[in-house]
Amino acid sequence: MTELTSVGGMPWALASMIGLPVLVALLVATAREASQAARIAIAGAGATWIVVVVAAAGQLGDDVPQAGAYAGGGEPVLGVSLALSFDALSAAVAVLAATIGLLVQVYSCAYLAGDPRYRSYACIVTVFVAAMNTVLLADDLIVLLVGWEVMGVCSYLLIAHHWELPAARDGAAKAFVMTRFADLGLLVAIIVVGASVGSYRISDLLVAVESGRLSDSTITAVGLLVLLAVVGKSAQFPLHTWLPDAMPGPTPISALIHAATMVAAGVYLVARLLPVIAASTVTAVALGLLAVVTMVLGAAFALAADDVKRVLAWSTVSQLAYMFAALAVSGYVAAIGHLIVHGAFKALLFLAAGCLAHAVGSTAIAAMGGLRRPMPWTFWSTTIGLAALVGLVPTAGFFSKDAVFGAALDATHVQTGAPVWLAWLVLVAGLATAVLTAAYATRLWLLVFFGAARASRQADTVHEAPAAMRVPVAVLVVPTLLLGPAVLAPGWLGAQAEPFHLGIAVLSTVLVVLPGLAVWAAWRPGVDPARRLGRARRVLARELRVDDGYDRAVVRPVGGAARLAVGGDADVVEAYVRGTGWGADRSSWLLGLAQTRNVATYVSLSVVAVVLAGVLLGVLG
Amino acid sequence: MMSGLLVVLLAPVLGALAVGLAGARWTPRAGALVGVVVSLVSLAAVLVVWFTRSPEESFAGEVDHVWIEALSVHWHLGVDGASVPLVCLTAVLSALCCAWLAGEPTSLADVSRGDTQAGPSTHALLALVLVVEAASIGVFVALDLLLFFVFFELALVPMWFVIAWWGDPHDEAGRRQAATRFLLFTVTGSALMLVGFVGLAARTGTLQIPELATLAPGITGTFELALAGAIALGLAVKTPIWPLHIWLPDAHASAPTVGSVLLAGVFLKLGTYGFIRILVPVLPEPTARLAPYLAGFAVVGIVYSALACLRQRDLKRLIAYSSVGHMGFVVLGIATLNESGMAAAIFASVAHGVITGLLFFLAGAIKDRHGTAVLARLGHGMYTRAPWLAVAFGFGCLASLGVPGLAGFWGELLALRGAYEAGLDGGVLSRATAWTVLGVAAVGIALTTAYFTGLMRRLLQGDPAAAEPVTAAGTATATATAVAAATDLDRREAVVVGVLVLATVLLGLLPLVLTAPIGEALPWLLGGGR
Amino acid sequence: MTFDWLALAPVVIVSVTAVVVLLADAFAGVRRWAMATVGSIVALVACGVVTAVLDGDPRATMCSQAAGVGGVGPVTRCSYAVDGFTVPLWWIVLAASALVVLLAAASASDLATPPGELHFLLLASVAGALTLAAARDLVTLVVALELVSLPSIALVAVRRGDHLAARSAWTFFLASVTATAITLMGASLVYGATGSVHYGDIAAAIENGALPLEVLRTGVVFLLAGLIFKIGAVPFHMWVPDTYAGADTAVAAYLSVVSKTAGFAGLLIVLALPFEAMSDTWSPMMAVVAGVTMTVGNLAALRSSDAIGLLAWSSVAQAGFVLAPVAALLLGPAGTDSGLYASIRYLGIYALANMAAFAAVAHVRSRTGRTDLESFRGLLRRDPLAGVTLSFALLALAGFPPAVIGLVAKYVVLRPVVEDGHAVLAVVMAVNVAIGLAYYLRFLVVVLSPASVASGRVLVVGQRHGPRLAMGLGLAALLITSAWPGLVTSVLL
Repeated sequence: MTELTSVGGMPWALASMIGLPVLVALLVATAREASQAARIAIAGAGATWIVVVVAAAGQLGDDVPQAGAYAGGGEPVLGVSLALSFDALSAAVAVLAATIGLLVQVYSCAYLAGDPRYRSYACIVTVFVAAMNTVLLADDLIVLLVGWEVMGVCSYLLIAHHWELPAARDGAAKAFVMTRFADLGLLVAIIVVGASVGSYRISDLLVAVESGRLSDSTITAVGLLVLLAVVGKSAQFPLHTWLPDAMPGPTPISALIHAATMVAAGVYLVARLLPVIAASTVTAVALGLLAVVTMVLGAAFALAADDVKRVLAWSTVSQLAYMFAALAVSGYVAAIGHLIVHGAFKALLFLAAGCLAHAVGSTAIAAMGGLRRPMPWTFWSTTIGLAALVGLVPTAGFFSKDAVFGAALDATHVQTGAPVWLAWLVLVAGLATAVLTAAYATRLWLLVFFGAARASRQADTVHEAPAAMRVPVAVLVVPTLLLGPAVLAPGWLGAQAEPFHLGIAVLSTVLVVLPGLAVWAAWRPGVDPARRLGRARRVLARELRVDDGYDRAVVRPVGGAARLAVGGDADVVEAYVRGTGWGADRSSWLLGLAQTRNVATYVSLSVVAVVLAGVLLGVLG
Repeated sequence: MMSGLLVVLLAPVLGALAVGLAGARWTPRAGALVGVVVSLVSLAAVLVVWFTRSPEESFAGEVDHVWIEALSVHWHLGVDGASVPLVCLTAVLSALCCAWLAGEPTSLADVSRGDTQAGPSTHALLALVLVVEAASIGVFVALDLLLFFVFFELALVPMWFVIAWWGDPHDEAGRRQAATRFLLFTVTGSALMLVGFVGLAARTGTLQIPELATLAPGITGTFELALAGAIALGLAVKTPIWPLHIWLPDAHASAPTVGSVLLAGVFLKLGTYGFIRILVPVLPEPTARLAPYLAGFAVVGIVYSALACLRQRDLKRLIAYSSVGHMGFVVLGIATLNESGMAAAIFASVAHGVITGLLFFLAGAIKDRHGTAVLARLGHGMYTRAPWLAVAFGFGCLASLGVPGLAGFWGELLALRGAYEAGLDGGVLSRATAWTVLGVAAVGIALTTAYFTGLMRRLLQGDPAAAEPVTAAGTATATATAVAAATDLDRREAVVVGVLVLATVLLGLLPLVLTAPIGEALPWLLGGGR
Repeated sequence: MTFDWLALAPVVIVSVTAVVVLLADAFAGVRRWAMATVGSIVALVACGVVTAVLDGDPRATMCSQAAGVGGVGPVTRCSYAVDGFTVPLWWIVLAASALVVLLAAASASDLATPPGELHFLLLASVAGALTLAAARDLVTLVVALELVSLPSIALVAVRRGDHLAARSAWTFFLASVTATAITLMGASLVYGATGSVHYGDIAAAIENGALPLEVLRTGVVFLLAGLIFKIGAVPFHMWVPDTYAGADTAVAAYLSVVSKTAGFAGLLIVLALPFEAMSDTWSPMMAVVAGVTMTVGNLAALRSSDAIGLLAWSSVAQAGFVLAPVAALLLGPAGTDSGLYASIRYLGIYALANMAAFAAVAHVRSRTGRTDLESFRGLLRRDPLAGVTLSFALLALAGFPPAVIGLVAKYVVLRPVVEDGHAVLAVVMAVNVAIGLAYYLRFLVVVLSPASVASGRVLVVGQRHGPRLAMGLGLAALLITSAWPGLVTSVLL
């Protein structure tokens, strides 16, 4: 299927999913003042949302992707073709991205009201949506890479939105360098695919894998290289450290990019290439192990973090790990289901955190407390969001997480790409993580909304967020509550759905309720239950000092090497150059000395030379 | 029949004569206008020649007259898909340089006088720019080794004057030394290259590149390897390949804005074009034996320059070092001797010309405002002080670090692909070599990202108020430039920058614009028209 | 013994004119300069006509029948021949001499310079140069060599009461005498070894072999010494800067071009005709001499701050370039590609460029009385013709476009060297191209510099059309040959 045929004239809709946001971005960039830019941005996001939803409506639950290739062929050297393909998977994620994108645009015009740089902000967010859609629609890996890295650039620019703050500058730089380093994995993977498959089309790649044309080593190499990129983009261990540091970015950005869409794009890519990953046990095991480590670590770090957004960031890391774990055991539907649900409730939580920050003027947990009464909207929506994060009945989180556990359970007896022990490991780690999740969620909930208001602020300054911010949060409550049955609906991804596992459900519910109660028991107004962790708390708060390790292992050596390079140019290479010049000048000076203007010297010198030459050539020669 | 290529070549020459002779009788603006016009004329002419080509000929607009009977030197011109993009690049950059000079702040011109009293005028600079343009175009269209060499040398002496007379106004000794070093390095290299050419002519009895390319299979052996080595060495100085790059940072840093742009955008390409047009097609077998070393030096250069960039204190030096890295990718592509690699070499050459040209124009604008390019004196938060200048500069950095969707990416992708393919069966590199250079180059990309991110962080972001206090000596200039530093791009600058930004996006989103002609040229480059 | 007067005509014309000019100068009172100049020019042009006639039909004269060495039947031995070697060398000598005559007119108002004697000596020396290019036996060679040298020594000292000039002449004289002595010794050794002075016989004898090779080799080396002296190559280079410094500019120009050409004429023909078979003896020596000469000349020129001194050293370096192909295959397979013709072509191009440069220098000197580089600052603006001529000539000497002809010259001399596989020499030449550029550029920058110095005391010289004409001619020739380098290569075979 090198040439996908376009179905039902929809390709224009596909193209407009990318083209429309780009157009809107241009309009926003050229808008005269902020209010106009805001109007254009929101309208554009709305239009994009409509296009996406209409296109997706026809696609969800349909096995046959609709697709089209533009400028296919023609291109002689690169072999790139602007090929788009839109199936249930793309449709589901695209709807999520478009929805959050729209809500964030609405939210932002209030959150960033009066911000001098709002226009560039809105513009970049729109570009980001276009890039995300490119990733979701691309059937050509190079086109996908373009979207993939443009997302990274947008993320970099948006994290650095408040670039006068050192934290924002550092976080942005760190995020960009780390993810781009990882992206090189994808770049090389693409090259290998092109050389071995002879095409960059994902469809061709999958066909080649199924037909067994590719050698196992090639498949493994491609899989591992893709994994590198994914681990970077989705902030999985060991490249997990950039996401929490990206939190200085505006909160809506954290909701859109660093919770719902960009970081989830890693999951999307693995799901898209699942046949490649699953075809090699090495890759599957690597993915599973990384996921297991990450989910536990993330949840543990969240337990000790003392900043609301940081807690949420770590929780994102750990939740993404759930999805990867599911994929490692071939839980395709479970992973995507959790991706959608998590996108909804984590965006909700971040936007709500934005409301808190808007009210309190900080995101530090220490600055919160007793906010239940002054901010009822935020309180209730956050409560629902946290419930979904924990996985309490009847929120969507309960069902999606259950599906993940179910997938792992199946993998323990049904034959999949992954070995059985990995399935058990995933199951155990997943349940353990659920416990931790319940703990940190409860802790956050109690510390932020209950207890005494901080003495540092008078009650009257605290106020509920404006409607433009409240409404998006409220809107997100709907999917957070109701999406659960949908992700269990059979065939919504055009594939076999996960059945509901009652036993697992009961077990996990028990496992999350008990720690919740325990934390509640440990809590007194003004007392952080995390203190019960004792010494472990400091260790976790330092996040195992992974960054110090990177600093010692990478940053400083590179700095030293740089010093060496500069020194090398200045002292070694330069020295030869100067030496040559000096030598020429000196020898010129010497020759000047030889010009004694004393003819006797000249004569004798030349005579000696000639006689020598004569003897040499005459007698010896 | 009067070939269009003669128009391409003569337009800038006549322009140079006109501007040079008219001198002060014209306003600088008028002179600049003439320069822009003639450059656009040759751009149009080359496009006409290209699009009116006949498919069966391997070279469009070919002209071939005997020039020196006794030495069988021909006045032999022609363009193919490998040279047309570079000719267009040269014409466009020259036009932009002339446009840039239209409003060159006179105060700076006064300071930058080469010597005391009546200094060199903007007209002379314009004329030199056009001479450089003509010479570079000549290199790109020449199909006779000696003619190629004549044009190759023609631009050197003018460039010396550009650097030494109009260069950094605050460091006369420095700019003279830089200019002389640049000249002597290149001349030594090109003299070696001449030795190689002479040897080729002696060995084959012809100087015509197409004819040589058809003889290529027979040109093997030790003597030929030596010739290839001499030619490669000469071109390596020009390109430059590490460790022969040492002339480059000084020259670029102390040249005037247009000088830096022409050096980076056009001059370095003369070297890479020599590899593409002569070494690979004419000496394929010896080149294959040199390939591993070329590839090795190339990737070492990539990493080395990236490391050096991490610790540069001068904006223009930093961009200059980044050029070394980009040329490393070009040479890596050439060293793979396969279609991807050669395409990478041409594409990356053009992309580098556009992007680095953009960066040097912006660096020049910054230097005009602050009177210095020392990062410590430029302060932070340029986003607030000169938003559009800063945004354009950030764009340039992102393009230069190879963000996909912008011009810089395709060259890197193709180079890496070429390296990978060169390691497969039938490639010129051993698998180990190929994958090692691939990995090292990838590390280089990561480091490139790191230093450009650091640069943006330091220059564009941050608190504008927190600029380091200027030294007592510089206080006067500081107060003077404080106002200028706050001004954003003026119309002249905006036009020049806008053109290059558009070109970067265009090449990034429609690589077909370049890859189509390149694809047509590849069979000849790798098969010598056999 | 027959005499082919047409073949001898140039030598005769020049010699006679020399005497006529001297006598006329003695008796005529007024306009002596104009007369001398015009007379000399006319004579040289006449020689040019004759040369043109002779071009293409080789003739030999002053021949005699004799039994060849080793009983090889009776052979015709000619002492004087006008053939493919002679004509191009004559062209160079005549053209350069004409320009020198024009330059000499620069010092017309300088009462200390007697026009009659100057032109007499000049033409006499030219006669020697012409003979040297046609000499085909060792005796004629040595005599012609002396005929070139002695008048030129006198030329250096021709200015009355000029101590520097006298001292330079003295240096020149002593060095010259030494060289001649060595040459004579070499000639006698060769004669002793081969039993003949005629090139043909010597060549035949070497072919037959059975000779005292040591003696012969030593003889060749010594014989070459005198010629190497004339071309100012290492180790006989030290007199060059001193002599040029003291001599009048026109004379310096003469020494750097005409007398150098004469030296090369002798050298090339001697190596090509009698001793070609012994190339394994002299080829390495020539390679070493060439490499060392160009390096020494260039390095020494780096620091010289005086136009004459810089050109003097540059002429040493250029001699090295002329010699380089000699070291390589002298008579290559394809005749025109041989090192011999490469040398002659380079020589012609060098003569042209150097004369143009000296013309400009002479002009400036006649205006300012100075020759230090500073006195050339801003020349282009002050005096466009002189400025352009000098710049173009310097570029041609450096071998850089737009003076394409200079680059072609470099290519011409490199070709045989590379073809013969003298890798080291080739690299040395390449490096020297770069070193050379360094000082030519230094000069060039001063000339083009926009800042103009106060041009010092301006001696208003009576007659300055000569140098202007010379500059004009030189520039025109350089421009035309740069556009069509084919002209030179076709004139000089």
